[in-house]
Amino acid sequence: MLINPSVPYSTAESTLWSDVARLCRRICTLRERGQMEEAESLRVGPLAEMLAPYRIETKSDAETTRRLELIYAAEAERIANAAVLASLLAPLLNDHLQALVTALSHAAPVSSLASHPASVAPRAEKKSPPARRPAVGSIADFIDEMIAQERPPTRPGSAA
Amino acid sequence: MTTASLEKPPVPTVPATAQAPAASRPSTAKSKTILVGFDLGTNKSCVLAGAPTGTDIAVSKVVPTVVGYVKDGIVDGIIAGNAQVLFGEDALRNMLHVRLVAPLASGIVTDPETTRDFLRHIRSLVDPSGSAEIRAVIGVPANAGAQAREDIRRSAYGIFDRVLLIPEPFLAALGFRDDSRVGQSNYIDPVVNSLFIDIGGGTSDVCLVQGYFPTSEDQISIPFAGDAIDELFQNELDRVYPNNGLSRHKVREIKEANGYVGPSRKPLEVKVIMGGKAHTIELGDTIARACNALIDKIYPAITTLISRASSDSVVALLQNIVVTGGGSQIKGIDTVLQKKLTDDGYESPKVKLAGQEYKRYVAIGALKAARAARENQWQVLLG
Repeated sequence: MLINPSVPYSTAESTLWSDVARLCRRICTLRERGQMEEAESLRVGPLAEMLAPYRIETKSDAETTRRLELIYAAEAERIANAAVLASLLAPLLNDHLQALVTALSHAAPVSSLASHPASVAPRAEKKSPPARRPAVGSIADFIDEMIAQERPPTRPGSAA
Repeated sequence: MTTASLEKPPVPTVPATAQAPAASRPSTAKSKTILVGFDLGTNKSCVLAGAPTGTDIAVSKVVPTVVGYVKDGIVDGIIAGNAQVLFGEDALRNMLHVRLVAPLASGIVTDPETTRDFLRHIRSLVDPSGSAEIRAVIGVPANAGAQAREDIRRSAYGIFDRVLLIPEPFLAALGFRDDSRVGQSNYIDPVVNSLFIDIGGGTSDVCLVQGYFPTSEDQISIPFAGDAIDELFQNELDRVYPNNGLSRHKVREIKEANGYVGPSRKPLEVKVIMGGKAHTIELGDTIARACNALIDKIYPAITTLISRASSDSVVALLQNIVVTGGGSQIKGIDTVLQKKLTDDGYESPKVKLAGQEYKRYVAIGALKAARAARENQWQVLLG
């Protein structure tokens, strides 16, 4: 797991540090999401409570803190890596799903499209806006569209 | 801001860098998060700030986009607090004692270091303690290129924690939208179908907003706006009244007070001080020539975008043409544009002015966008 393998643990200790690692991961995740207050309340609440008996038992605040810092560092790196991976995967998934949706909408019978007038926005002689939705989207949807537009075009055939 | 002593440095060569990934580093623990809606204008910037939830605006300021670096040898006490760098109005008030630098020209960063100084000042306005995480939605000119965007991101690195760059005319539409009336039968939602004309200092941006995020084809940015009118006006003044000695700053003041478009309005007499003496000069033709040049520049862009609207949407679109930005204060701009469209045969066009909040709509839209942005949409700035 995330515990320093160079440090020997008893089973009880191992369970404790596994639980601590899980909590630290949750704290790092919340921080990554910008939910600082929630992260802080986990840190000063459940995490501190979890470690309190161990601190008393071992009479070593410094050692506990050192282990905790190791776990924090490992979890923070793990979450950062996950965020990078997500940022790489999200556009690929988005492209893939958009292609899928486009393919499905083209395959749908006319009668079903007729119930969503905006989705069949006339392709008259003038230009038709890209990827119309049934109604005006939320601001976050607009931002998604903007980000998609900023992305370099995918190679021909890659979205098929 | 353009003044007699204003420097507009040449565009520096910025090495290409990788695009900042959408999310990449763990946030450092900060006491709170402040969202910022920021209209980084060539001449004037508007900053709004508030908490991530709710609709309250904690900070609302319009700041001239100019930095004043205090000249060597200024006696102690001349500049308040003996500051070495002044910003906005403070810099302009002390223009005799500072070297004024405009960080942007035509809406893009021309002096990265000055831009960073200016952004630091903006940050200090919204977060004086410097302890909060700052997430800013920054307005950029329509069709701003990748390099222009990257230059803004680089300038914001280390000052804002996360950013989103969104074209200004779209933000203006979001800002102009009255959210409390969306859905009412008698309310025309500008985000659903409108043409926004945002006339700033460096660029005039025209944007088709039709319920989806405008593509590059829906936006036209013209490098002719307030600054260019000032220059034309000053050239005209110099021609008609040689050796008038009026600074660009003064010329702008006169334009802002008297600017108009359409047929010549005479007499238009303005009292000015030349060489310490009061003179009354006739500006009817001079100011009209300069301001009407704006119409000549933006009108083709307007008709081009109208021609790109679908035939089903264009009639409603013509009812919802909105002029915003500083240029919306030029007298008659709405009626002249409307008349030109009518004369050209467009069906009952209606051109309206955004109104008194014209300086703030982009920033209002930016703050709305900041509050609506999903966590994974923010861009983390990397060095």
